[in-house]
Amino acid sequence: MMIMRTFIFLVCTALFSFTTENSFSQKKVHIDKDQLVTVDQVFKIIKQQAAYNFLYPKNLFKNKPKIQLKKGEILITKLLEQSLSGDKLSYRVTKENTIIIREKTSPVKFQQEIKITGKVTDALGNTMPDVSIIIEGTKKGTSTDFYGKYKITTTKPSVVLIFSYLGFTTQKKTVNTNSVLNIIMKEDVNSLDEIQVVSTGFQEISKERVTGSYVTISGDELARAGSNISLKNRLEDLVPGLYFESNFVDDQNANGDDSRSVVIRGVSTFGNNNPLIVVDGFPLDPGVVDPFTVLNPDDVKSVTVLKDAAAASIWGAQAANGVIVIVTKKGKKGAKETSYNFTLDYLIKPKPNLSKIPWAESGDAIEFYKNLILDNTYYDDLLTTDYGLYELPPAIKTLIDMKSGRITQVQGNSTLDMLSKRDVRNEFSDLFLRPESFQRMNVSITVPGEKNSFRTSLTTIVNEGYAKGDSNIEFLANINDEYIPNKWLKFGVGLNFYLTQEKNNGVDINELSLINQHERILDNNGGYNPMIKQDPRARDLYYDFGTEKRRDSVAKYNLPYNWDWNLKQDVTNRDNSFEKTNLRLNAHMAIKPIDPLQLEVRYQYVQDNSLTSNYFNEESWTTRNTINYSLRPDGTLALPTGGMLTEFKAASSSHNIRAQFVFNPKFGKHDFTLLGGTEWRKDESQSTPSGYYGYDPQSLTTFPGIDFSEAFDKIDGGRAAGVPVLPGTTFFGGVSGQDNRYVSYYGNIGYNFDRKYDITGSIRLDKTNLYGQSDSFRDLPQWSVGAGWNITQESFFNVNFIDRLRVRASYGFNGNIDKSASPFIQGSPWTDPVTRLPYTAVQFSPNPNLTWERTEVFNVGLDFRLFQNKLYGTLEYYKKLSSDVLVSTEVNGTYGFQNNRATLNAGNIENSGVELSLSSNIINKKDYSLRSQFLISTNDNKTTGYQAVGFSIASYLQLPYFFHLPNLPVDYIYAMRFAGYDDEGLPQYFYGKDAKIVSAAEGVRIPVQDLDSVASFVGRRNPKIFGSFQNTFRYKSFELNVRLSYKFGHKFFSDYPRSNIARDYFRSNNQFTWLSELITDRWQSPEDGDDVSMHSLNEPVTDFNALTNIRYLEQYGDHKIMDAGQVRLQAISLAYNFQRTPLFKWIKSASVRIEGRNLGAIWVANNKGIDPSNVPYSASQYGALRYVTRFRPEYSLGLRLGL
Amino acid sequence: MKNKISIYILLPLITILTWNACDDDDFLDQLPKGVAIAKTTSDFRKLLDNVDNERFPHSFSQTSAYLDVLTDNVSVDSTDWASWRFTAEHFQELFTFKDFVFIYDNLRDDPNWKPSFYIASLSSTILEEINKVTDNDNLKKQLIAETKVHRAYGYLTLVNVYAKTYNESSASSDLGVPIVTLPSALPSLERSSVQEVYDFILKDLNEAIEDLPEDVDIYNHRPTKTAAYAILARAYLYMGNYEKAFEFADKSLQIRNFLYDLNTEYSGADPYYTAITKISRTTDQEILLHKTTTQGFYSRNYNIIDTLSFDNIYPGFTKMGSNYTNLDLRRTLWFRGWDTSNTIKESNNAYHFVYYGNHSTFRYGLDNRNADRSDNIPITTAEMYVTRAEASARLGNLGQAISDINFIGRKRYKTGTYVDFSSNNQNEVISAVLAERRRELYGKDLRLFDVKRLNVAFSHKLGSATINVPANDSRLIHPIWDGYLEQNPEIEQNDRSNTGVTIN
Repeated sequence: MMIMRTFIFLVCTALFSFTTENSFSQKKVHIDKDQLVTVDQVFKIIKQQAAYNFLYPKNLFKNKPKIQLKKGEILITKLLEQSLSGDKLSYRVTKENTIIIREKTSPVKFQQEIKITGKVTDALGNTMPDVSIIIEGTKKGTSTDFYGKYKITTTKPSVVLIFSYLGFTTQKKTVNTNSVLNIIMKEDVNSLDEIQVVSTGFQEISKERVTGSYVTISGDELARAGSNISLKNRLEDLVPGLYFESNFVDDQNANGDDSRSVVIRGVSTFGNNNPLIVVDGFPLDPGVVDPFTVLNPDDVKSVTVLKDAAAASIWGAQAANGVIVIVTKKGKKGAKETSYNFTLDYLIKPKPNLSKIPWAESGDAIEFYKNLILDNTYYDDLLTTDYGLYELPPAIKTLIDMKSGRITQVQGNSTLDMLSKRDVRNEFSDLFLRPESFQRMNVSITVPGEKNSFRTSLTTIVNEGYAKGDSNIEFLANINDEYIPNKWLKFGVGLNFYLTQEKNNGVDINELSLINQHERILDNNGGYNPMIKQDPRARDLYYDFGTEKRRDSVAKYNLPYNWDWNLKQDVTNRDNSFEKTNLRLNAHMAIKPIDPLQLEVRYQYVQDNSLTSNYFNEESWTTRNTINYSLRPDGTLALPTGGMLTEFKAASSSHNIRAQFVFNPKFGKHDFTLLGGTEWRKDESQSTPSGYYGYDPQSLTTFPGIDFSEAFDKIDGGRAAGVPVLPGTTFFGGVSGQDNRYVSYYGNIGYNFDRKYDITGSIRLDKTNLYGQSDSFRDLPQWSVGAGWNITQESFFNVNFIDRLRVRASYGFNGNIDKSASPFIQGSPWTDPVTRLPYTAVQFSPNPNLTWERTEVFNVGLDFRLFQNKLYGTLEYYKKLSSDVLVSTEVNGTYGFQNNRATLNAGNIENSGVELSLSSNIINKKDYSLRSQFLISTNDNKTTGYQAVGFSIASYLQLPYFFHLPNLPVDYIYAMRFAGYDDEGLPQYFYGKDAKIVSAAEGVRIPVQDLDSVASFVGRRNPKIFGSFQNTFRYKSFELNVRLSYKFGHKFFSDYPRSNIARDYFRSNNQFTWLSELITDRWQSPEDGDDVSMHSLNEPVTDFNALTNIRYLEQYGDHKIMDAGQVRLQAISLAYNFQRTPLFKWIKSASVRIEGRNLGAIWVANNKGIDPSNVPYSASQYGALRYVTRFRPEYSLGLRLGL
Repeated sequence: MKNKISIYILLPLITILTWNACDDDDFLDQLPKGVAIAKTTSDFRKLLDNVDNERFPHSFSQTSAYLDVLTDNVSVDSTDWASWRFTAEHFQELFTFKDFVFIYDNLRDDPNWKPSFYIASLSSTILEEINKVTDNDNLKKQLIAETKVHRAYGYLTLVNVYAKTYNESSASSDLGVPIVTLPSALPSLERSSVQEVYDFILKDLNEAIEDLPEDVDIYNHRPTKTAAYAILARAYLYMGNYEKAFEFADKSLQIRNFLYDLNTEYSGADPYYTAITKISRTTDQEILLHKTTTQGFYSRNYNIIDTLSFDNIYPGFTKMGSNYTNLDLRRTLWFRGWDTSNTIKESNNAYHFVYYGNHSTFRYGLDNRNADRSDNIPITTAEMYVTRAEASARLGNLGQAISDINFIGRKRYKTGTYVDFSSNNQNEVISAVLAERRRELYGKDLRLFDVKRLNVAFSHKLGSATINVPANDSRLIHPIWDGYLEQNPEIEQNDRSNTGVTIN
């Protein structure tokens, strides 16, 4: 309604304003009949009817043809246009209603010198240095300075200035007087995806002059990459050589995508492999703040990825894995008016579909247990053991009771029939899950000015998670101001503020794996059923007994709380919140004391505070359980009744200061850029936990004076322990923190000759306090050199279809050090609980021989533009050789290191690859166009000179991330050689060179030396070839964008059955939760052959070594290896871009976009149709759950409005 | 123009000079927080005070893990045995003297080999690193001495677990354990001879003595002269050098000879079990050097002795029907019944051994710490008494031996019930001394060394089965875990093939 009214109001205003336009243009004369008249006669009519006088040279229209007039009303302007057409005549109307007509004359010729000055900016108002300005027809020219200003003089009376800059439309301007000519360069639509200024974070370099490997993505490109909430995810598929490694295997968090780490040009270290993230000139330490969460993609002006040695020698040791430089949007200098931008996105992800988890159907599971219990002896120990202490899930209990004769077959079977129809997944989904949604709103205001420019933006994100009760509100604000009072001074300040408030009261999807498939959460009346919590990893803080036993204890000792566990009750009573604020302040100043020299100082302060608060009310399991369990042998309680509160406060801050000079002298054709500076940084953080008992959120009272050192026997033989220092946790409650400091010195030189040849060099020295006092250990100089040749600038070069061709090469050395390693004894400080003495527990034994890891990087690139810019791109080749690679290696326990690990310089890694990015805009018509971008990257790698160490073959089969093998790729996969099933249905493997078939049941313990006798290298985990193909088709105002990505040349293990299925189930009361679907397809008789998905369970296997071998074979057998080749539909979007219309002149731009993302694989190389990026590892609870939570498709609707 | 160029050159220079004027060393000398880097004597003091057995599986206190399962001090309840699955397989295989001793996956280390090598390795590193410290020479000397005592203790344990007992004639060819003095260089791990290991131990101890403080204080985890003498006495006793064993046990006792009269700790009339007087580990006056078992390997879980042989060890305890007579208070105070109500039922003839656990009802109840994590197995004054007694007896000084064991007996029996031992027969005296030694050192994880040294043949029980172990069987020597051999094949395995163990 509101919108409607506004609309009407606006229309009226618009119409009204139309009537008040300049009257001359609206005036009409009346022609009473069709007639042919002379021009003079026309003027006469106008003079008579509209009272205008005419002034023109005599005989001007003497030889003009007559004009045909038609009967009716006609605009005077129209009439004049008709009369004066074809001639070099012009007219103007004076205030006295006189129309003066005269010939368009040539300008008057002056013989004196004219001076033209001005400033060149881009459409956003950013000054553009290095724009080339040439006087047409001459060789005379200049280029803009650092502030985008230029000055040019000429003696010619009239000149045409050509303003050119690669990637921007060349502009020609005719000038004939002394004048100020400010130019706004427009991005060349043909060169859509190329940004011409590369920001290294230290300086902005014209792309024409870089010699290293940089990829820059503009804010526009990011916007086109979809309305993904996360900036990190938007980078996917946009940068050749960059991929997301989904290390989900060891990941324990089924909910997030956060474990996808960004890998640039392969792994060159076994340590931290993440690239350095630089925001507005300063690196953000992920330990202080995650750069990707505190940035709104809409505020990003550009993202530059630095991939080669040049990057690291600019940024130092932190940059050995590449650098991602993010520049946020600033005010528009020189723009004419304040602009307002408004975006609104609504994004929805479907509810996780639990029925897709490949777990056995309820009925199948019961059949399986029937077989194992009634027909076999697997659970016979349950018949005799007093399992009253624990409790068995309904199906198992029924079967055990049937077997032991406690109930009849008929009774048992009818219960089992009832249970086989029940699958708690449905109830779980209904009670706890919902579709996930995000709403994001962003408003930004840009205020332009000659000397001062200002931009502010505000973003709110509201997220309703897929678990009911999980929600989060984020708030991001930016203010940027830059002030240039005069030509030698510039300063600016920026403020970024981030706030998030999370409520984490929903179910954790992992909790599905803690409950039994055949249970019910609520009873028929909606009441809480007592449930069994089956956590195979760790019992939940004293959860030792079954329901009945707990109920007995409550009655016997008169305990204060009901002691039943129910998931719904637990979830309903959660009150967990997380709040975080992050403030980033920065200031910079640049002085230009004399022309080519500039001095800059930059400072940034980051403050980050967070508070995690978990309140457990009296209904919560944690409170009821902890307090009931605090019963002392004398019958009193060690804890007060009432709620409990646990809080974690974390605060960190970072100071960063940089001072540098830029010296940019030019002599004739020689152009130098010298840069030097120093950077100092200090990152501090501290976190403090606190816990309160007897907490009442209303009166804020707590119960003091609890003796945490008290230890006592637990009731009824439960585990003995004291009172947890922090309620609801087993965490000890120590304060932790860090204080890391860095000092760096760097220098950088660039030389250009005649705009054809470039030579660059850079050097950097890093120091840090992490490694104690030894300078030799903490200093590492890093350097790079580079060269570029602009072939098309050469006079001899004359190939028609090539518009631009440039080759460049760089070479250099980077270093990297594992911060956990040191030549000193390092340990963790603690206090001894008995002596109360401070002591140091040794974590890392020193390695005096430790040296820096060095990576030698070579890069050669070719930039080309062909067929009048219709096809353009970059081809690059790189080779990285990391030597003395630091490996945290498992060493013999005899050396006595904690965890048997030592950080050693253990070998080399070689990486090489080719990257091609190819863009085209072959079709480019007024109404329709097609733009395409094709990226392809390859990566080959191997470790050399590496000493293999590992404990068992499991090290290499299971944990190839940590255990490396010489002359193999870093991301190798080893698989056991599967040789089918034996007569008993147990798996066999090929052993040794003569491929002797050995049954796993023989229980031979396979020592690590035998790895190659039983297993072989089968491929890599990460793709050898990967890339994307993006097409944007525009028809009038509609734009359709389709983005595909592809990966080839790697392998994956498909699903496997639960390991040690029988062994785990022998005695444990807490393992009966879910069964992998694969068990229904297990080997049951010799007819089943080798294609079944699991070994036989007909006879229990008890030999430990046999069980181990079966597990390895089934999980890591080569019959489970599949080709991971895939093509994915990453995103498809349709946008409507409103044309600017006079009706809504106040709308500068507007678009609506609908988009679908993560739409899945459209082609996979394996014949089973498994998506290799999201394998349903049904046997692992995380694998199974993340299969339905991760990679859910996303659908979004977005609106963008520019005013 | 010239002017301009000189400014071009000058300005950057001035800037660079200004920057360099700031001293980055001051800024960088601030140590990172949350991590301790050893640079001063007080840093090394903290490293050497690491005896906590709660947080990490290794520290200077943790030395061994259920060594007594290989001895006649342990029998196993067959019901419990059946319920011990994979995690206790290591224990089971040791107890039944299997050829191959399995160590389950999660453990990833031998709980005897690793803790002592951790101590030895960390000591070696400290001795290497502490050379750089100059701030307090006296303390530095003391710390060096303390470190050497710890290292010697570690090797003394190792050589007795993984090698044959010291035999003067073959010690230089018998395989000992690798001596690792520079672990960070990851040297090759050939086993040194038993002689070399003992020489190394004696050298460390002898070098240490001068710089150690005389007597223990409340920080009884810090080595002192009396502790170093005690370890020397233990080493020489194991070597069969009774003169030296006597000399050092006597030296140790001259500094500290305190022995609790258990009557002062006995607070109840209950003949079989009672709450003991709570004391703290820091105030226990018998301790010469605090040591514990490896984290997680405490006797309560495993060491069960059957009543029959137990009654033989503590003859002051007799049972007539439902009546108990117990004169030996060690029996009363150091053990409790299996039953949760702390009573011995007639049907229940097995006992859990709960010596020195830090539970509220245990000896170190005051400390309320390391409950369930490990047992305390300190080297004590009592060990020095029995060591001096044995050395005296073997050297023919029977009076001294008898006086020592009678001194112990009077302190340990109910007041007025102890009958003084007397004999002129050297063998009788030695037997009496060894019996007292076994009683006094029960549960301190030292029985295996005596079994080996004294050529004891024994049998212990697993339910109805009996495992018979002849004297000096090769399987009394722990096998070296396969994991270590796989990584460093130069380590030679102990031969277990030639064994006389029978099970019937």
